[in-house]
Amino acid sequence: MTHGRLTPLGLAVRLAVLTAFLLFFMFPFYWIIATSLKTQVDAFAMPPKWLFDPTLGNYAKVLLDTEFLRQTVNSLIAASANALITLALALPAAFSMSRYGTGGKDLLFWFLSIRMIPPIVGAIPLFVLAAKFRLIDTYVILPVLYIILNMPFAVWMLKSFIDEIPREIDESAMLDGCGNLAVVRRMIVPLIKPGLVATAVFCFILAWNEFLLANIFTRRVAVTLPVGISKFITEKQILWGYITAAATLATLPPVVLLWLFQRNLLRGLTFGAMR
Amino acid sequence: MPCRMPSNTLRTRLLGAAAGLAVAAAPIASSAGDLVEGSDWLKRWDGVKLTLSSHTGPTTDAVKAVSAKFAELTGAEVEVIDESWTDLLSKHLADAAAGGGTYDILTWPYIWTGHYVEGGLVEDLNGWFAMADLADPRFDMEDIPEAVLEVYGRYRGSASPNPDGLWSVPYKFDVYLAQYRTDLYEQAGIVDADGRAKPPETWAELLDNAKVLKEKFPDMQPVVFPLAVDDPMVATFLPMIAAYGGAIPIPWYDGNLYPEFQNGPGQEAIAILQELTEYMPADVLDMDYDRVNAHMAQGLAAYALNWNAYLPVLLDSGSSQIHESVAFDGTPGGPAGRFSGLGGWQMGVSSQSANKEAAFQLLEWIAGRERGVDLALAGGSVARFSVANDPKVVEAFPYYPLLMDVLKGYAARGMDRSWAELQRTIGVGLNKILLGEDAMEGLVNTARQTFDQAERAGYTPAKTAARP
Amino acid sequence: MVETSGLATGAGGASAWERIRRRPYPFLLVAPAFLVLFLLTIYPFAYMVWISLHKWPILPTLPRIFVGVDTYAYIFGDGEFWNSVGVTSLYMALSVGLQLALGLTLALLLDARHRAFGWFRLPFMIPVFVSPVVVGLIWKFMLGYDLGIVNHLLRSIGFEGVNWLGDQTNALLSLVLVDVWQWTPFTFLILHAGLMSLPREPHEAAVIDGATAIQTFRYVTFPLLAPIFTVALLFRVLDAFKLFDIVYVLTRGGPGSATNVLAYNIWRKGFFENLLGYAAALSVIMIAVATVLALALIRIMSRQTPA
Repeated sequence: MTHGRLTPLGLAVRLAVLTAFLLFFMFPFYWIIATSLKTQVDAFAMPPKWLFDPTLGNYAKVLLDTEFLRQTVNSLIAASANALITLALALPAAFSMSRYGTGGKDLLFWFLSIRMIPPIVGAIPLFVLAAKFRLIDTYVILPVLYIILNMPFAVWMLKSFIDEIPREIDESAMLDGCGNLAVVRRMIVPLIKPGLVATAVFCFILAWNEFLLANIFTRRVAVTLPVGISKFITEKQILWGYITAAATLATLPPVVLLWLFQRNLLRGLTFGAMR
Repeated sequence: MPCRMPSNTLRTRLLGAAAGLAVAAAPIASSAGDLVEGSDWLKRWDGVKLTLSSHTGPTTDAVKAVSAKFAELTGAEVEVIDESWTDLLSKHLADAAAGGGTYDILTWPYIWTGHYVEGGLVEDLNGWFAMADLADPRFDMEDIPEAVLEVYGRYRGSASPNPDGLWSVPYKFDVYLAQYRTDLYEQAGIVDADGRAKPPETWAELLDNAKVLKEKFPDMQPVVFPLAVDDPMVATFLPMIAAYGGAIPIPWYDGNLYPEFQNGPGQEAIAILQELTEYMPADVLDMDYDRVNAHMAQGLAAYALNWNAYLPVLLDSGSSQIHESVAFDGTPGGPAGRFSGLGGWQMGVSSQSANKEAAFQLLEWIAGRERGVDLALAGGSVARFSVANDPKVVEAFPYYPLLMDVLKGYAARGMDRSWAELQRTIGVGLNKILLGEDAMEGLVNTARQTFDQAERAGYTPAKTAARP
Repeated sequence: MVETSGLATGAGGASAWERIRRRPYPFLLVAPAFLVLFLLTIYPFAYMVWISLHKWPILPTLPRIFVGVDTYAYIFGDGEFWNSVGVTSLYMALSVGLQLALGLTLALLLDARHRAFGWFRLPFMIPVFVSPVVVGLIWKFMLGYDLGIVNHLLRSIGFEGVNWLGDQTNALLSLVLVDVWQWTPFTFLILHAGLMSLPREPHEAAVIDGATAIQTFRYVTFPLLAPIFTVALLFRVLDAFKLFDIVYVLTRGGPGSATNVLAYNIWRKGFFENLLGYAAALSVIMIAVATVLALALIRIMSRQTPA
């Protein structure tokens, strides 16, 4: 509670504690990467092999002999399309709520409340409806469904970015005869560009990682990566080499994006509460 | 419907198959290089696209190869879609509900048959097999064990649109088999008169063996069964309750099945299973088929039960440490005999297919007798006498003849639409008993719940016995 | 820097329609987002209530039978449902409690500025952004009793192996462990950032007045930290309530029904057992509970949000 200066000993103790936790949080990642570089027999060897001849066989298999690449493309499509749609809808709404207080607190919290809906609960009626309209396993269905997951985040996150822009800026633009949409396009968008990108990235990652809905609403054409990975559990055996290789590859994009946008992504997770 | 075939029929069939094999040996040799020979019953299906929906696994991989040949011969385009089996039923149902017609051939495990037949998803194949211009003259339905056809092909009972209908043919033959380590059994002195490892014939004998093995090899698991909640728990328990006299009829809901749990057979079976679990890994209630197989492959257990689909892993030196010492046997039995657990998949022609005739020919092509050996050698699991006795197949997969154990008696699971729910209830109920709940109470509750659930689903369990 | 979002107030007084008529533009801007979300949630919800009053096979060839609230009555008498409720509640309480407690402890311990702490930020955020399916699979692989690395490590430092997934209590605790692993870094990061942003004066005043460390925390630091704490609580409670993926991969609801949480139970009933009516009724109940939970938490959060 002092957040003041630290003695060298104090610093050392704290760094030691942090490092211990870091090991706990990082070990599983080390272990799946190591496993992905082992053969199937080595993967289950007991005692475990800490030193082994690394092989890229699992990666080669996953990339060449499975649907991995196709699923990667599917994931990219679903996640990017969703991020774009969500932003297109959320940006005007966030602007309006920030500048005019449209709908007041009620609307703001209505958006938040959507996020409380457990996805499985929405899945049942939406599944029946999607079957009726023959949307199951199409490239349309997942981007649309993910609006439910991402819109609350996007609205809150964007609103918090717009709130930071002094009103004088857009008021002066208004005086120059710009309409609302023109203000958004010419003034707001350039000013909150980092925020906009972070929001898009945030939606992208959430959609990229989503499993429950993708598992229910796709079967072949539009299958995404998380569903694909879970499919390496075959009737014959769980292919741990493939699973770990595919999991490592599938985790890379979010981690890279996280590395690039870390500060603003944390803001998204807290609905813009943390700046 | 009887579960056992008279043994003279069995003997006749096996002898017949052996004789047939000798006769068939010559044509097989000559046609090996030229598969088009004998495929004159196939029509040209140029421009027709056929889609077969199935689950991920070696059988489907083998079917893909065989289907490619069909495409080559007929000009049809064949796509085999394989996906994780868990959501396949709801996907098939959703497609049918939307009037989809996405699939021409559907495959499913028989435990879901009620949905496919009562819902009208598939064609009755009796009429199709009677069509001279479409049928494969060498399909040989007699080569498929009648007992297997009964489970994989028919749907009897009051809810069926046609109790004698043939809705499907076997797609993937799955039998519960025992696998054991000959080296450990021999070292522990569990041997027959010739000094060779002697697998147990009864559950009680297995328990005795387990005690000996535990003493001799304290670090080894004497026994491991798939006992995870749901499917594995129930698949393991049914052959046990059958061995103690719990007759398991097909279909379940018209016979005296649910009430049987709390009676003698159920009590005896759960009692011996409780004792056996003490010789299994501590986390056996989390073990599904895959984990049991991994356990065996890593050389951690002396005896296990599993589906034959998993066994190639044990014989492969690249994935198994015991490939030289593992041997196979039928499931143990009890006072009422030895019963094989029966699982597996079947295939039928979708009633919404736009190309039923071509689809039917593809189905015949995959399931017909002449592709049997190739399918089996490619990793498929084929329910045919001719395949089970084929020397090449037996050499590659020594357990194949044991699959015909189902003819001695089998314990099949339910097929009606309520089965998935019942199986969950039974699995949870038995799991809880193994976790320490009172056995009698647990069995009665399970019997009651399954009775109620079958009734809620629209069936009439009360026809044969009162609510427990 | 942390602060909760500010909110400009709309023109009060006049009725909603009046305001829209007078100045439609702001409403038109919100309308697309609102309508899309409304159509994706409210309409299906109404449809789901309708489904829940039937025996509803997916297939149109099978009869749909109207049964009224019969399914609800059955559910409330079903031991499995109450077990689900119990398991879910216990899981929520344990995992959220542990994450917040651990996160707060770490944050307080590290309540100091140093360049080195920044290095931990990125790695600590990684678990949060990994797909839950991958997380579940990783842990399934590591928690095996005989073949898992965790037990091997435990044994190599002289402990007994733990029966992580084959025992009723442990299986639930394993789920908690996985969730704590994935989300404690998150609670730590935001609570730490929250602490860093607090003004120092009240704290110094309390120290001068002779308050103990515990008193300072209880009466000075925590009230100031409360808004950010509430945010963390809100998210973690509702996420824990929705838990599905990890159960699906790790335990499938077992052993017995020890980890049969509500969301998994609904998936099973609806998409595996094809009891859509039953699953829909369960969903309606789950939404009702989620609403109550959310309202309570949002009320706290909303009170802390300056109007």
